[in-house]
Order: sequence, then C-alpha cells, then structure tokens
Amino acid sequence: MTSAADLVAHLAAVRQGDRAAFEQLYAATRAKLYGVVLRILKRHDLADEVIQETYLKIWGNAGSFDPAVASPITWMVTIARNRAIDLVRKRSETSIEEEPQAMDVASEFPNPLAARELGEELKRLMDCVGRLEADRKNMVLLAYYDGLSREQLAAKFDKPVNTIKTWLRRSLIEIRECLGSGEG
Amino acid sequence: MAMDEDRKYSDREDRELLAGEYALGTLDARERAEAERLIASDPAFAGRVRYWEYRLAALTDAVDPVEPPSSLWQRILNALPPSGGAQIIDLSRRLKRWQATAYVAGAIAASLLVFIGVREAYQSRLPEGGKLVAVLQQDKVSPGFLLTVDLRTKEFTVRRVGAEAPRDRAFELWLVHDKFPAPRSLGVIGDREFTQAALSAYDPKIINEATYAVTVEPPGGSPTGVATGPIVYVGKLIEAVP
Repeated sequence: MTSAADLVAHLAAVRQGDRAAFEQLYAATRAKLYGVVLRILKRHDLADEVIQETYLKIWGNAGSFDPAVASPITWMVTIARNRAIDLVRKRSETSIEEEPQAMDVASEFPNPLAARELGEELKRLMDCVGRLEADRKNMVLLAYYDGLSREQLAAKFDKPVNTIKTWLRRSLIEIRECLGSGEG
Repeated sequence: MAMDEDRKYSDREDRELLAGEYALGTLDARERAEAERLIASDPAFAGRVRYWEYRLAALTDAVDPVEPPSSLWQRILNALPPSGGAQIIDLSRRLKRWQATAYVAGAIAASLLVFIGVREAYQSRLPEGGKLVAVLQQDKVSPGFLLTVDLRTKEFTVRRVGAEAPRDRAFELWLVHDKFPAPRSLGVIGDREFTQAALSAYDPKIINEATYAVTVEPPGGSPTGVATGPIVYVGKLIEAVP
C-alpha cells in the first residue's frame, strides 16, 4: 500500500523528470484510475487511450500539483475522470452503449457505503448525498460513476431534460449546504 | 436596485452550479467547452470547479480497481517527450514550458512582442544607469506586478498591480539567468502594494538579461531557497525611457 506521502514524493520527483518515480506512481495508481474511467467509457480501447493521455498530462503537469489543495490521488483521478467525460461527450452522437464493442458493465453503480475503506471524506460526502431524495441520489451517483449526461438521465428517469437540470442543481446546492461553508 | 442584487446573486449562483455540474460531469460538450474557457480565464471559477471536483472525488473510493493491460505502460513511456540530458533546475524548466505555452497559445502580451523588437535593437549595448521596467504577467490581460530597477543604485521596487496571493500563501520573486545553476530568490513580494529591495549582488548585465518570475510559496517564502510553487507571473526588463 503506497501512502499519500509516498505519492507526494513521487510527484515531486516526477516534476524533476524522474522516470523511475513516474513508474512507481503509475504502479501505485493505475488500477484505481483505470477502474474509474472504464466504468464511464465501457470500452477497454477507449479506457487505454484516456489513461495514456492522463499519465502524459500528469508527467507534464506534476509541477502544478499542490499538496496543500488536494491529495495526489484526488488530483490524478480528477484529471482522468475529466478526460473520460470529455471523450464520452464528444462521442455522444453515437451512443457508446449501442456500439458492438461496448462491454457489459454491472448495471448497478458502486455502493459507496460498501467501499472497502470508508474514508472520512467519503463518509461525510455520503452522509450528505444520502439525505437527498432517492431518485435524486441515484441521479447524482449515476452521473458521477457512469458519466451520464442530462439527456441520458432524462431518458433513464423518463423526465424532461430541464427537470433533470433543476434536480441536479438542487441536489448540488443541498450537498454543498450539508457539507458546510462551501469554501474551497 | 433590489432586482440588480437578485440578478447578481443569481448570476453568481449560476456560475457556481455550472462549476458543480462540470465536476459532476453532466454538461454537454458545448457547455463543457464553455466551462473550460472560464476555468482558464477566471481563477475564482476555477477554484469553485476544484472545490466540487475534489469533494466529489471521494466517491471514487468505492469504484473497484481494474488492472489496465500490461502493454499500456510501454505505450505511455513511448509517448513521453524525450528527456533533455542533464537535469535542469526545476524553475528554469517550468519557465521554459511556461514560455513555450505562452507562445503557442499566442497569449504572450502584445507589449512583450513589441518589447522583443525593441530589445533586439538594444541588445548590443547595455543601458547605462537608466531605469528598467518589467511587467510581470500571466497572460496578455493579467499583469500581476510592475518591477522597476534603477541600474545606478541597483535598487528595485515591485508594485503589486493585479496580483492577489491565495490565502495563507506568499508571492516570491526570483531572478532566473543561465549563468546561475538555480534561480536566485529576491525575496517575498506583494504583501503590501510596494516592496523595495536591492540587487547589489548582481552586475548590471545579469540584471538586464535575467528573467523575473513570481511563484506561489508558503508564508515567508520558500523554506528551502528553491522555488516550490507554480510560476504565476513572469517578465523581462526593458528600459523605462529609452
């Protein structure tokens, strides 16, 4: 198990162009990042592409990582997830689920409360997400885990897109209020 | 009046929720592109996006890890930019990258481009005891500091223009020159509008040729004497009056 402090040290070395540290960073984080993007992309070839771009970006931008603002894994998983979402949105004309290569991913999203280790932050966040009305909670989790757009959520919940937008935004406000001040 | 207030509030809340939805991932491609433009141009908005991204990222703790194919690491290695031989001092590297990005993005200030022309003309001779000035900036619309150097006395003044340090962080000014293996700290700047100090240790040629960079550091400046934070502003000196 690589600690957050190890990852900070790896990132600092990567910033200096240290390839050995980069390999250790990759070894310690690849499965987590791959799991997150595969769940959104549903295709190994696309996940490979996104993970490659993600680590190249990490290599190039390690200097902008600030340990005072985020943990290394949070910073890295955010880069990976953004790339994955960008890709599915750009491909949205052809629905990924309907493509023959699409793999069958479990239809239920991960149950955050069953996470192997329920970290403090996840616990706090889930306390707040758990207070949302059932449909809205599912909507937020589907959006986050599976990368569904408003349109896809509208189809799934059989509601107009504008209603979905309103629900999502209200959910975000409720989560923010529940989490506290909202100061970053 | 009251309506203006309401409107202002709702615009702000709209931005906030755009940031939230960006992080959640529910925006369409066009809205994502719009949000990305804002992230690049509006630090406050970028901060809100980070707030949401970093809070929501806790959810990924519940995602089952999946091993990528073992061939992927080689693909990544092959795609890395070629390494540049000896290790270069980090700040200089970032500075070069910053400059490259700025040029590629065309974001370098028009004033800087003009200045390069002017500078070429003056390269052959050193300004004799005049005043030099540099705009330390992020991009063409975001000057952070104005640096003025008196070559006669070697005193310099840094005036804070648009810069605001993040909470519990300080700006530190660095002199970067090929002659030095590492950037030299010129001290913490920007905690008040004007900061004055001297460049007594440097000869006029170095002062004239150097690049001046500002990084974000812990309060009181980098504890190690080596820049640790990102470069936020950068610039070079030109003669204030030819």
